[in-house]
Amino acid sequence: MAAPAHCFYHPDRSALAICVSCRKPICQSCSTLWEGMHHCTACLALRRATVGERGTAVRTVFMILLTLALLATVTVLRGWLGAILMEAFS
Amino acid sequence: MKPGGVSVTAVLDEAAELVPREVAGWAGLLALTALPLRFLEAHFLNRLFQLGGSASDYVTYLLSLSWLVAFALLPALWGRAVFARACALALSGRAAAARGKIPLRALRPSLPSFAAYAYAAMVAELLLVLFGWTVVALPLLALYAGLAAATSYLQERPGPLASLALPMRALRPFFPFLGLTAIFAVALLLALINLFFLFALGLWLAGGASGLDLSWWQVTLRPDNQQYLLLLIACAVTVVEPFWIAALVAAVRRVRARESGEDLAAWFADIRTGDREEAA
Repeated sequence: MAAPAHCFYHPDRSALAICVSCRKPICQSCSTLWEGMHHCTACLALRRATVGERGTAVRTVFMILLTLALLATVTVLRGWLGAILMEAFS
Repeated sequence: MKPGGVSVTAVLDEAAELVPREVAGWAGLLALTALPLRFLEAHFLNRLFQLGGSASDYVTYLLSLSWLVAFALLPALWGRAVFARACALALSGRAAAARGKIPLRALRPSLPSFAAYAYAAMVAELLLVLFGWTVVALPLLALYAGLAAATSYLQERPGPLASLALPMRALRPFFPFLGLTAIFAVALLLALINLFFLFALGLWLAGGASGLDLSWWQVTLRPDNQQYLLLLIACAVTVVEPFWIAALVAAVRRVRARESGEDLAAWFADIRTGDREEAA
């Protein structure tokens, strides 16, 4: 099967490559060569946004776990250190 | 807004105007979420002082009280984050555009920003538990915890170091913030004295009514009653807290405006408006 000769986003331009994600024919200005593969602008933007969101989500989960660990530490220290200090000062 | 340093009096004026006029409802939410924490902290300290030298024999009991304090801490942090956001929105003038009403959706802190703030607040709490007994560290820790709340809506990308550094970055210049801390320490003392006399007045007025047995209240509401004194301090902190956070939000906004040059733009716009009015 022959590939369509025109860009999906610019029908007046000839297609140079096919996007590795959406399989749409794209022209030179729409194509970005990344890791040796052609990507269209829309797929690249989507990929970038997903990676960004995933990065923030991972950081958020890490921070929540860290906060809960700190909360437990503070709770134990408050009871334990309070008792020790009271004994030392009285 | 005039360009230059962060004026303590201007910040205090802004906070005193902001809290009762524009964010009174949110101050109520702040008090509602903070009161359980304050009362539980007062109860924990009261029990600790009562146990005295034998406290180490009751570590399990103290730990159970400490867990109750921990459970009350998270809603209190959420209340502070929402209140700081409300103050920031009101100061930025978006509330005025919405005819004085702050949209509810805008006040919901995002999970990443809340996680970052809760982490910074928890580090402040840890330092408070470790060094709070030295008393000297208390004002600095209160300032850091307040700044963490005041910058909570600016936390965009949570990170173990970045989330801790954001409140510190606002401390440029340091002295206006130190001045604010000193003024609010005096305000806390005044609030405590006022609350004490308010309760005494209530008791005296109730004494005028016939048929009321006030002997229990007369024994309870005395300054030598440790539990009553701790509860009064908890109430005084709750009263002062909205003004403290609002003042810090206003101060942080001024620092940021000075760094971005927004203060110069606003000042120039004010001058031009004044010129136009004079010409008319």
